Amino acid sequence: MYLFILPGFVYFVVFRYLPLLGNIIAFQDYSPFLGFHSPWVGFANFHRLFTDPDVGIALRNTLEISALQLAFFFPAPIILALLLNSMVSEPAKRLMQSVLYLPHFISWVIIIALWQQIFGGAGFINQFLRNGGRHTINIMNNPGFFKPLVVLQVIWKETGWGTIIILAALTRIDATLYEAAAMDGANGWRRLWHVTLPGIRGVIVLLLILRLATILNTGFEQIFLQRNAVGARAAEVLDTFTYFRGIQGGDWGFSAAVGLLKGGVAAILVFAANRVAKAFGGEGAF
Amino acid sequence: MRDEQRSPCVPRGLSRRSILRIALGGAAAAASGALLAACGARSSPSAPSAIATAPAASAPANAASGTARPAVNGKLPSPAPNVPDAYLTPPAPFKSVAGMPGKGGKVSITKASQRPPAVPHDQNQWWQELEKRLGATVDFTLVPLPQYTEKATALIASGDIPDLLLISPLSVPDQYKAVQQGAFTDLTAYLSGGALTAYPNLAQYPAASWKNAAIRGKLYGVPRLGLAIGPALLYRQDWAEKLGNPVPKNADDILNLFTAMTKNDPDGNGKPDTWALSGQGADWSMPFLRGMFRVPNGWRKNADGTLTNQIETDEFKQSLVFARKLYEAGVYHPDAATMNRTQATNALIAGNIGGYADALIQLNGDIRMRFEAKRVNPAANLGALVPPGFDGGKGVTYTGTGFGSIAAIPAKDGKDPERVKELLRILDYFSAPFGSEEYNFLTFGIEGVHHTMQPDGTRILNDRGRAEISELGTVVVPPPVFYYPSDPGDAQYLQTAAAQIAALGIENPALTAFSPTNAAKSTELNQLGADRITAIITGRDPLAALNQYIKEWKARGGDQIRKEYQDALVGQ
Repeated sequence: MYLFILPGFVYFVVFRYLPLLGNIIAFQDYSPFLGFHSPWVGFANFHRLFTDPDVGIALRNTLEISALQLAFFFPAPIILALLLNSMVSEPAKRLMQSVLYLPHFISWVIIIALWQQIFGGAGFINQFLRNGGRHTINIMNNPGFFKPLVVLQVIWKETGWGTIIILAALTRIDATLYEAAAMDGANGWRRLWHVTLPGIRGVIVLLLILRLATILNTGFEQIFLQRNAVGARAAEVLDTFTYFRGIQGGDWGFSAAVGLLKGGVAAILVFAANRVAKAFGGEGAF
Repeated sequence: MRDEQRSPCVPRGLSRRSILRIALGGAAAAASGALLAACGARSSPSAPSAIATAPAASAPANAASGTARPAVNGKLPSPAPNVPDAYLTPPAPFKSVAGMPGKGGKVSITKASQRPPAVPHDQNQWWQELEKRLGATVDFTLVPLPQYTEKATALIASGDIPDLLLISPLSVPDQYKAVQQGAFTDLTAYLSGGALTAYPNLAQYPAASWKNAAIRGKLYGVPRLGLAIGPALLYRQDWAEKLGNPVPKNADDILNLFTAMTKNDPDGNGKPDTWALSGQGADWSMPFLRGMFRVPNGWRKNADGTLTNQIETDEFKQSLVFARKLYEAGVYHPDAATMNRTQATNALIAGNIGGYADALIQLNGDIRMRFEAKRVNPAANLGALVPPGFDGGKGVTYTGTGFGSIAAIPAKDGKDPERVKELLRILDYFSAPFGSEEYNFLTFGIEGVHHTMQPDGTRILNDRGRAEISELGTVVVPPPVFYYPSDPGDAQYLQTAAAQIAALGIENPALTAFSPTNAAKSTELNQLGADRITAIITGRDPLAALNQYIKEWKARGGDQIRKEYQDALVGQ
């Protein structure tokens, strides 16, 4: 019996737990040539976390983007799934779903290029304005627009994909509940409020907790590709920061310390959210 | 995105070649043929055959002045230091390597590549022939340039470093650390003084390239040579002529030209879809604009021996004010901040922009820009514009180090001096000068298989040659020359442009000094600079933010770097 567990167990030990030991480089002045024999510097890298002004900027940008995502991107798949679920024609619904999943499989490079072609300074909209002799509008290079733009791009790309789990949860709701509610005279909104949403509440809470675990990951490629257009002060996030400092700058130990910080914050958030979920009578994630 | 090709090409004083020329010119006996013999063949007794085969006595006297001279036997000799020779037809082949470089063992080589990978060893006749000629089994790994730095760092980390690895320790902090921690063999004893004569082709390198490649006085590799002259504005000369402003003479001329390129529809398609200027990696073509305002190259050495960084100078501020003015006038392409080198190159070829600052060699290098632009639009004529002084005087260009990366030998090979010598002999083979038999093989392969020979001695590479040789033949390269058999006229054009750029060249006084803080912090400080300067040019920050930037730069390492350079320069 226990043999069946073995492959999964080995996978987690080899690819998840052993690499954790690599975090030791956060306490070293790490050099790839010396490897783990690099000089030990104790908490010096962590001290720099609090004195380096760039860390503050990256952390603030990351939190702002994450907050916007939580407020606008997180509910989007739920709403879309409810809309899809209310479609009567089964073939139309399936077609719609497939079309909505597609953007998930397009790489960020192509999506950013598409946005650039439409909204960029030399893109479709501005070229149209220019040909008509009108003033152009600066969308892609405007630091003020950057964060909403990033969230919009995520919504455009990932909302369809995000509906999968919600749709699965919706099918689990007992159809007789809807009939009973209808018999009692509940209209559509009432049925949504009293039957549908309670039915998928567990899944939503689970997704929220998982989302909090990755709240400091804003994604690398999407931001990296657009960072130069608006400057580091508006667009540097922890993921791009560790790339520039660690991989380009050779400051591996410091970058590892930033990574550990991210992990620490995520762990605290997950435990806190789980507590809150349980306090409100939910099941939580664990 | 910074790729190693962009690392400031070197400026530097007299090359060994030019010293030779002066010596010969002084004797009033210099003949360009004799010069070729002296440069191309070796003065070393180890290769007497080279001298014998070089056409030593056939050429007329070489005027010592810098004016353009007619081609002699198809050669346009360099008119000034840092300007390569140009060839219209290649010289008669001569032998530059005596004996067999290798001892029959294995040699692994890892280098960057910008072309499709070479045909695999077993089907690659050129590769197999190379091994015969080198006397060694060669195991090549070619890595695409954009990933090269990370791949090289990973190789160093793995501890299994190839016998010859191209690295850039002066610009990549990880590689600098590895060098200091003993990952590579110290080659100083092998490559200095009389020891260098054992490698006749390496001995022909400009003396400055060895000096510039040294790290704290020690040599850890053979520099892969490039042009030392600084960047210029690569631009649509035909647009400038059409707009009646072919040679702008001051800042107003430049502003008028750029405005006209943007607003006056130079491509004549009736749509406002052209811009005068872009940049690469958010540099806003500042290398050109700084040249107009005579901003120092990196640092200014003051009379009392102290250094002033270029960002601290008034000239720098003026260049920034001018860039802001250009931005307000709308002459920058809207995507100028995000374009990388490839995108800027393509925008110029496609006629979307009028120009951007880049190395001259880009006009006909890995990408043949002049040729490609003509293919898009037969009227297109890409040229190089040197910065005019903002006040109508002369501008400056930034002379670089003259090499991109170095071919280093790992410490494990360094334990056996004979092995080091063998590897250096192999590098010597790859450094065979233009026109030599070895060069012809490395570049064009075998006649009838990889290339066809024209009656005038021109070799034309065929598809098989391109596929088999790829970039295997350029592990290290001889001193550059301009030779473009398929683009007649380009050799002369590029040499003339190079001379114009070289004439305005100024050097970085701290170039050969070394600062450990700079090695560790340069990436971070460059990022800071790019961000602050972009904010000022685009008007996100007021001009006054420059003072704040200078303060930050000083506090985050600038002052420490200055001190280390100053101390290092006192010792020199």
